[in-house]
Amino acid sequence: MELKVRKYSNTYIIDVNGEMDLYNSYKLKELVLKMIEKKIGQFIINLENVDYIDSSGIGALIYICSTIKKMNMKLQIANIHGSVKKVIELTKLMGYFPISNSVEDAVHKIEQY
Amino acid sequence: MQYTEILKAITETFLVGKLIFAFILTMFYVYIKKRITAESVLLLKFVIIILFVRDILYSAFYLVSPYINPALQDSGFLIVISDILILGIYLMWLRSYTGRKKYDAIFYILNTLFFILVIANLWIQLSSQYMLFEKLVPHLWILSNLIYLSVTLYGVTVYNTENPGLVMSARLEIIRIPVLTQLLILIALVFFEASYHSVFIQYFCIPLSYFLHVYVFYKYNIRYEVEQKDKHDFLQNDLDSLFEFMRNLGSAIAEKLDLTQILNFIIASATKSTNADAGAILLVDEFEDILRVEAVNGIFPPPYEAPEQIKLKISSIQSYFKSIPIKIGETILGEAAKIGRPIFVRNTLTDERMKYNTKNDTLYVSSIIIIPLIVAKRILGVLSIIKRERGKFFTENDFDHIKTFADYASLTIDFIMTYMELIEKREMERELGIAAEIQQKLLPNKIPKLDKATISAFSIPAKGVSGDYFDVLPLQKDKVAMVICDVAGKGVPAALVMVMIRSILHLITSADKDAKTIVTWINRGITGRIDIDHFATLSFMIYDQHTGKITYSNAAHHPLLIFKKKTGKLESIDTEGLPIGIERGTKYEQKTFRIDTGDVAVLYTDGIIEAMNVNGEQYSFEALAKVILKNAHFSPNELIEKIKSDLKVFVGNAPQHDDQTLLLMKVN
Repeated sequence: MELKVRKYSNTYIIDVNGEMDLYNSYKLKELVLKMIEKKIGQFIINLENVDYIDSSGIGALIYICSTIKKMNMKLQIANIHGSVKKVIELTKLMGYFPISNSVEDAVHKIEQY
Repeated sequence: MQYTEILKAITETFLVGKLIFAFILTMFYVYIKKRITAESVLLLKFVIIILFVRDILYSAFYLVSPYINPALQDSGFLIVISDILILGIYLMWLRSYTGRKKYDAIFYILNTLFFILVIANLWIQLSSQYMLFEKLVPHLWILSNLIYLSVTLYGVTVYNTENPGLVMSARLEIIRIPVLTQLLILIALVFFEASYHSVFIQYFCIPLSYFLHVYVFYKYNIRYEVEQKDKHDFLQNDLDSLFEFMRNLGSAIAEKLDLTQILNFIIASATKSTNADAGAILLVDEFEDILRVEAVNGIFPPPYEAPEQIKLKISSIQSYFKSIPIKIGETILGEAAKIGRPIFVRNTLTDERMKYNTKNDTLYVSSIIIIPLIVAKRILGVLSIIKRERGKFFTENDFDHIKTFADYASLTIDFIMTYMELIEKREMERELGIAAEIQQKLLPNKIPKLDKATISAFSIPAKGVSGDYFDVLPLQKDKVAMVICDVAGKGVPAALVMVMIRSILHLITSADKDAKTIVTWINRGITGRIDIDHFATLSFMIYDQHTGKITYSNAAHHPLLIFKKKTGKLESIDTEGLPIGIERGTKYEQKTFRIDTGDVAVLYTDGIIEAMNVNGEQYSFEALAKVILKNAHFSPNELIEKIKSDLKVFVGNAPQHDDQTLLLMKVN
């Protein structure tokens, strides 16, 4: 898994590349925690290039999501598709995660609220 | 007649001497050309060419003058012009060290004017025997040039010149010899009315002037040898200190693998081995284009503008520098990180980028070296060392040394970062082993026997990975509880979650509580007590043998499958609710329904339907459904075996990547 961060106005977009599994999901968690430490408050996690997620990956997303919710910051998860979507549906978390269809959509949602 | 006169001229005058001189000069030229490599000193070889040409021309003029113009015989202008040229060359040589050329321009213009005058003088003298000025004037002019040269020579100090050693050791002779020569020539010309080709001038004064050049080369030669030895010693020291560094680093890493500590060690070694006053390592931030100060040794003032009040205290300078990140490309440190090339500012006074550090205050820096830390074209950060004492500068040797040093340092930093990642992974794997053991102990070793139904199960843990848990709890009043659970996130924390769920389950499950209450209690008991990224999906059912009813509640696990013997179909039963451990207030539902003889209830985990074969295809829910439908008439134990073997055939030799657990109950 590879993580790349880009910035769009005040929002940081994290592009996740590859599989999110037991061995690397913690990296995403750590990255977001570090960014929060640095007073960054608007995130988009782009899962466009993630085709596989396991329960640890879901765990990491839950962790990030709940941390950000608690701190009243903004998060959108964009481009959930394929088996990733299936897993999230199965675990009944579609309503729990703030989900956007695309990065543009996510930026729009974050800027609006 | 002509022939004998020429022969007479050769033997009686200085011509023989001239030839000998020319020969010596040629040999000398060949010698130094082979020996000298420094560009600045190479300039001096032109002096020999000029002397050589002068001697040839002088002899030629002397020989041909009786036939053209006798005035040429006493060609003093050649000596004057060549002396001025030689002085010019010395001046250029000097300037190649110090670099300031403003006043020299005036010198060159005045001398060019003087050249024109000398030529004009000669021209007039040749045509009318009248002289524009006496011989006295040119030599006084040369003397004034020598005064200018001596002022320049004595302006050379260690502060303004890179390699002042040669100049400083030879400057007395560079002045003394030409002044002596010029004075002797003047005395001879004025008081004894001698001509230029008199024996005194040709055999004494002019050869005397040669000693200057020989002397300078001699001095250069001595320094050259010293420098070679220095260089050799330096290389030796360089290797020694690097070796020492790597050895100490090895033990530092063995002691504790802590990046900050290692960085502190690196910068301390860098400062020590270059005799620097302070040093700092800045690393590039992971996701922003900034440099952060990671390690500092000594007092390192920020090489950029700092507020007045922090300059009052050394400690505030320190914390200011440490706390302010530097944008890549900004300040001299950011510039080095951007261009990826070392920067050496020998004297901060001469560099605009260091203008904030030249005043006589706490920010003062006299000399700075910045080396980018690069591994495989990736810039990790920069290493910088400074001197803070007035008049103390880094040398080229220090610069060379710290460049090699930084190479090792970057490799080390990269190595530690990779190694730490590896250790983290290894630790995780060790943890997984422990967790797998815990999991095995949690599973029921014996499945209780019921009167009206038979329960059968299998659980195959994947190597080192542990997340599945199932249990069968006999309750009072002919009831039995069955649970299947998949904890997300593996390792010891996940296993602990499993232990917690099991404890709560065993504690609260009783015949008088319904399924949704138990699931709700489990969720309340777990949420907030575990790291949020360890959540669990859980399916829970209670079977009442007496009424033949199942009460089922689901926390986002795979739905319960029921094979109905009457219809020959498979039904999927699900209820709403988030996984366990996410939100404390999650509401769970339950469904109650009858189950008849021959019916089968199946609970399973993802490991079954996501089992992969070598082609990367998944077993799928459909395949599971198919094998259940086909074999539902067998006994529970046989049905389990059928499912297991079907799965095994599908997977083939592909390695198992997740736990596979399946629990089923068939009504007799």
